[in-house]
Amino acid sequence: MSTTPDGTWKVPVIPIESIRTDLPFFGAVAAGFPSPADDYIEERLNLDRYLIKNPSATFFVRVAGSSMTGAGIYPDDILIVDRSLEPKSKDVVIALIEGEFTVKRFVKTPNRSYLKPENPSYKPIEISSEHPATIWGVVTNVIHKPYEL
Amino acid sequence: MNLFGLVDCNNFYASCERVFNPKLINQPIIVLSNNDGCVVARSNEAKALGIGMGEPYFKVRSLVQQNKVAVFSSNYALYGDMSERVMNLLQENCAEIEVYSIDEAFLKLDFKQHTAGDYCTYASNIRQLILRGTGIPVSVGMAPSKTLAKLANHIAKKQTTSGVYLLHPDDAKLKTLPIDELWGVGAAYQRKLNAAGVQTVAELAELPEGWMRKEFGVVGLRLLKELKGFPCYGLEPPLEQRKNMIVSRSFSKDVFALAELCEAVASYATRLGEKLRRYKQHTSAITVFLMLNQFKNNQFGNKRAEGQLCFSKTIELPHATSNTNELITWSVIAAKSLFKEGHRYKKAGVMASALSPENQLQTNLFVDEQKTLQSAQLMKTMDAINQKMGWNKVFFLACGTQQDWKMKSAQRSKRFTTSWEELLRV
Repeated sequence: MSTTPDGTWKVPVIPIESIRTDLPFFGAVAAGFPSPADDYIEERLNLDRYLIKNPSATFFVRVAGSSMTGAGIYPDDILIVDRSLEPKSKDVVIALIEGEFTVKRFVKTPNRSYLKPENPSYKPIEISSEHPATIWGVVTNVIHKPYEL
Repeated sequence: MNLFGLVDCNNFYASCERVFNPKLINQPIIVLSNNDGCVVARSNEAKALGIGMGEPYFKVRSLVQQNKVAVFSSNYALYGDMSERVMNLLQENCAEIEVYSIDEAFLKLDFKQHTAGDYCTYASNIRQLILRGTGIPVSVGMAPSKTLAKLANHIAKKQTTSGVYLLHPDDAKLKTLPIDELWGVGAAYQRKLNAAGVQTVAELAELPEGWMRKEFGVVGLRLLKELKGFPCYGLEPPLEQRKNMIVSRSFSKDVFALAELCEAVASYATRLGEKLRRYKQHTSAITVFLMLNQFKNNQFGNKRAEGQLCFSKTIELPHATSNTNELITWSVIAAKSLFKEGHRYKKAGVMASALSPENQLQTNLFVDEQKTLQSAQLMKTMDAINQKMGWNKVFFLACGTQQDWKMKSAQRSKRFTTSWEELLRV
């Protein structure tokens, strides 16, 4: 302990983390009262497990364009993409057209397939033998920060 | 039928690049070694141009420019992650696997009362699953032994469109396969066998066992048995149960100074510590090795240096550990004892040479338990910070802050799967 200029005692404060070392955990110790919640302990919610069903086939990609704002997908958002899913009609997908990546809604009608943007300033792209497209993966979730417009 | 399968990723590094850069599909690609020195991977298109494996980059540079070959520095963060995905998919879908290298795994295929057709369907499904999930094309070879499975894979890759092949020991294709395609047959073996009139795998398989044993010892005998379809090798235990783990790299330029060498060794010891902790392992011995630059080491310029090129020292540690601080201390001691003034060092490595699972406590009367717990906590905190804030945010000062010896990787693609800053943009 030391004195400060105004004459009061200064007690060194040790942050609690720095004196506590992690002791080995021995499970429940028979002393005191057991927690009434002990029998009800469940695992804490895990976002990874909630959002990612196929970890080995899941990739994150960042959005560059604004062709999908109508679907709530904005520039700089992060998309969770599962490559192992079979693309169904109306899925939002990452597609490849002429070697370029794009995010669009995949729409399949009995005779035709489209990659549909969700922004009126963009036009749908029909998938045909002249305009072939490959589906790279299916977007399962969008990570969006609400304060960024 | 009891078979071994070998799953091998086609031109793995080039394929990884293509997953995130599809314009490169059907285009020639090469990937350069640590330091951008030599060609370590080629796409089929690059192979067709005559770019050889291991060729120094400067020698193929004009070929690269004329043919617009895409050139990449090795992106081990990406390749490592993609490899883990492929291996995980295999693990989830096969009973037993042995991860053999970054891009190969052996499988044990043990379907009772199934036909060859069933095996091939299974293999195509695996292939499809990996291609779909990761974008990486693989080939699957199947056979009664590992040696034959390796050949089966070669055939699957080169001679089929399905990417799947089941090879029997009496397959006629073995009559045309040269012996240099065989697993474990190096140049010396090959010369000896060629001298004995053996050119093809089928000819080798017909040699008498006694002769093989006499000429090539028990390894040769096993090779022969494996070729005849009698397995001599099973699946190796998974990485976590193996006996050693290693971190080594080439330097960007030759290192002369002890201080620089110690920084490099300390950095490798740091990586080794992270690796050990990731796999929940301790080591009770470390081996440090230093390699000399064989081309420039003597005063006669380009001639090959005489004598020893690799020096190593193993230190037995007072107790098993994965603590970076201790690993650095001992590695640097070993490096200092190996160092010789005037030598040009081109590569160094630190190996954990006696692994044990970290929960298997080997208590020692002289170990301060309180201290051990504290240092374990410190390592945990360091790993957490580095994981959260970016790689190497906190490190031991022994690793140096300049790191001039660190390798070049001027043309590395983005770390698409391991860095939030480098995600694929669509």
